[in-house]
Amino acid sequence: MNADSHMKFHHQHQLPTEPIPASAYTSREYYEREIELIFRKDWLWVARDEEIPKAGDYKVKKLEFANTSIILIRGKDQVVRGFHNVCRHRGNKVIPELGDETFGSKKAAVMTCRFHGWVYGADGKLIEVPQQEKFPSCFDKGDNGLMLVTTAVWKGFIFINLDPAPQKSLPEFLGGLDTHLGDYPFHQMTHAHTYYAHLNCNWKVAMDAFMEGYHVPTIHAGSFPGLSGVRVNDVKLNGDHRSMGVYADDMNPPTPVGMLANSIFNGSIALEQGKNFDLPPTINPDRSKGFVFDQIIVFPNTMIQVGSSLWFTIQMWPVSHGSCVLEGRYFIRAPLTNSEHWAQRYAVVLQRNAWLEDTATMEDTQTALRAGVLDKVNLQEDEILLRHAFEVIKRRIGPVDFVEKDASCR
Amino acid sequence: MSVNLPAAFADLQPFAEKWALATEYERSRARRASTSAELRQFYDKMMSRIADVLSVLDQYPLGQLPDTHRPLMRMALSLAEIAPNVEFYRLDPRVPHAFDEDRFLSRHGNAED
Repeated sequence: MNADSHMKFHHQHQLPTEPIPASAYTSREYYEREIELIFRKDWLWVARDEEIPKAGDYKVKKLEFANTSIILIRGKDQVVRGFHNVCRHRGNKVIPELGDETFGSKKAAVMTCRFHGWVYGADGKLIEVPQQEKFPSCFDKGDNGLMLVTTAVWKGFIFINLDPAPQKSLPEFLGGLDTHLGDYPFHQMTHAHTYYAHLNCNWKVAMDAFMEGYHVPTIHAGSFPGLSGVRVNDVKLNGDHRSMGVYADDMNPPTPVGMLANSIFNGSIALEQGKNFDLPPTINPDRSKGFVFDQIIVFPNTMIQVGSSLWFTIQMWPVSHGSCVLEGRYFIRAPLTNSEHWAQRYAVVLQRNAWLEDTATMEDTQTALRAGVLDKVNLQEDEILLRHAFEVIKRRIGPVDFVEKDASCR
Repeated sequence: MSVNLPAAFADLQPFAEKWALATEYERSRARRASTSAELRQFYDKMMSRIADVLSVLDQYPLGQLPDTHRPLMRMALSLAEIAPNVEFYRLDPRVPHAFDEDRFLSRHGNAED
């Protein structure tokens, strides 16, 4: 095949342009390798600092791909630690869970298992065992603390690593992203609105739907009619991570509620965003007027979008080779007045509706891939971030014969 | 249980029972259970008073609305909930070409307001 001159990003970054084989999205073996070699090895974002601000505050995050749940609890020393939510006695959950995420607070920063009353400190140490004298003499409380999961914090993002001996520190793992995001003031916009959905599709099908601007004029014709002239710029491949700037010629057309809400609080990506702070020089480097947001994709499953008055995240959590959980979080400055609360809710409703539009295609895509009706996925130049994601995963999990065989430009 | 609005907003009273709802989930369900004509009527009526509604609500600090005024805030939030359907989706009560709204859950929205 001749080198297509319009695929210059691909050539510049030495990325192939052949279709992606369907088997990468449907094979159980491929999925199991992704879990073993990526999700159980890499740093994963699981909480924000502000979700558990005080000593004794905790969040329990269910990780179905690893058949475990992680307790993140802030100790009296203000350090957040991670533990498997498993009692060292007979494996009961130390903190009962209500769903994918459970929040609460332990007054004395101690956790008591409800099965037989074993008590653990926020540092994981086993403090008390009722009738300890009835255990054999070799039983030692010192050896039976909660099982630690490595955690680290970056710009208020709490990460875990399921590998007992992580191959890289969190800063090493993030590499150039730290410089790219500079001093972006995440901590000034901590008012979160969270959505989630259990989807019958591979986690990569769901990720792919968000990693390009090509879908915006069609998929978002309903909620973001003004963003039809969307452009992607500033593509950066940053090790296993990647980012791009999203720009648009116009914003949503003026409508009565939209204009009123935006006159009270600039909270929507589809309306003019306020200039509440200076963006780092790496974000919208030309200070273009049409800047919408910069999308930073933290490998493997986190997307962080930063705008000039708001930011939002989208994550996909694998459940099986054909299912995942989508989590979307929208962050703005906390409202100061009732009318600001109202205006923000308009912006959040519009964003929720856009996410409903994004999510519309995913299960259909998986059905077509699984049925063998669609045996490959063709990508264009502006879908370079999907390509990069596929190439990074391929490199990380090693060659899978049937996937290699399927990949050709036919 | 009947919902009573402050006297100054008696003209909104006919819509209060249906739209003064405490959570995003309830407001979204009310929208989807409406006809286009019902959305239009509620939108037009609320738009005629929304400036007054917000100005009265702003007489109280955030989080300290008296019980008498909570239904007004809830109706304003219902206006925000249906606005895209009226202004962008040609009065379709659902989000067109979208994922099943019943399967897309809000965590914040299960809390009051």
